[in-house]
Amino acid sequence: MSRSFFVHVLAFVYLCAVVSLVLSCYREESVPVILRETVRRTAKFALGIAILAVVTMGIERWVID
Amino acid sequence: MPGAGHAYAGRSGRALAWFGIVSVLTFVGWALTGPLFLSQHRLELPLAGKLALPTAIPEVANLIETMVAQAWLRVVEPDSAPSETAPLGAVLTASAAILNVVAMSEAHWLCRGGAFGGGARSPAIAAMLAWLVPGAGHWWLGRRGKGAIAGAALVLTFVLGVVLAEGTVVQRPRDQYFWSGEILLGLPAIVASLADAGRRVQHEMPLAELGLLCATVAGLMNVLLMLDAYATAERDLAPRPTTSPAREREATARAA
Repeated sequence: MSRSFFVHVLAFVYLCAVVSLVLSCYREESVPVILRETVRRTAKFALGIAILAVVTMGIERWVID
Repeated sequence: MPGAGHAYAGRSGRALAWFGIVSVLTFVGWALTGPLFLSQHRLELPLAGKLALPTAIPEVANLIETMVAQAWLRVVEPDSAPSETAPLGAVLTASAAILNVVAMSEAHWLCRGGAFGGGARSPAIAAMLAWLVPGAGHWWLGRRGKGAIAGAALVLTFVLGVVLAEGTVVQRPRDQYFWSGEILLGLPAIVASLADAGRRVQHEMPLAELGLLCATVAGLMNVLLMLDAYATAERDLAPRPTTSPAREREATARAA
């Protein structure tokens, strides 16, 4: 695993957090609720992306190779 | 046509103001940009003689004036030299188109029966402020915490993008469609676009694409903030606009 890979993973988690924050702002009014919602959504987004990444890498390694 | 919606809604003063602002920005912008950009971004219509549709985004949101500018500037060869003032011109024409969308939303609000006065704040102006400075629309409407955290997150993401790509991301001639997303971030993107103009990629940048992605996501996410600022101002205004004559009749019948 290269340094560039970790930078990309961190950047995607960060982008998930930003998108979650804006989506939470779109739905909620109060700041504490927005922050709580952001954490919840970020975890869901990041988990989804992690599953997608594992499935993609699995297909690449065991099916394509 | 800028201001036509306001004229239709019977607001001639606002119609003239929007027409003046958008038209001046558009034509000054195209004069600075020169004919090359429009010549490269046009769709020929074979059945319509010399008519061609401009495909420059976001300028298509101000279609009639962009077509007039296209006819005025004429077509040049694709390998012509670009104008030195093109980056400033691009910023002006794009800003005019975005302001035209704001004007459209205000005309829509007025035609739905919306009114201003008594300290009420226009939803369209809230959206415009949200475009200019991310979070400013919410700040103006009194949602300061919300505006500050959302605006700061977007500006930080944009700055991160610019830093990762070493200041080479906000360039229209190279990344026209990414630029269209980035410019939705308002002033930070305008400043970066002018500062980065002509900066060339001199060496390998492994994180340049990631930077481009961050800067574009920040711009596109700002559209959600603009919509939310618009909706928040609309909720704050009372009485709520009439949605349809049928619902009004229903309400009158219920009251009777």
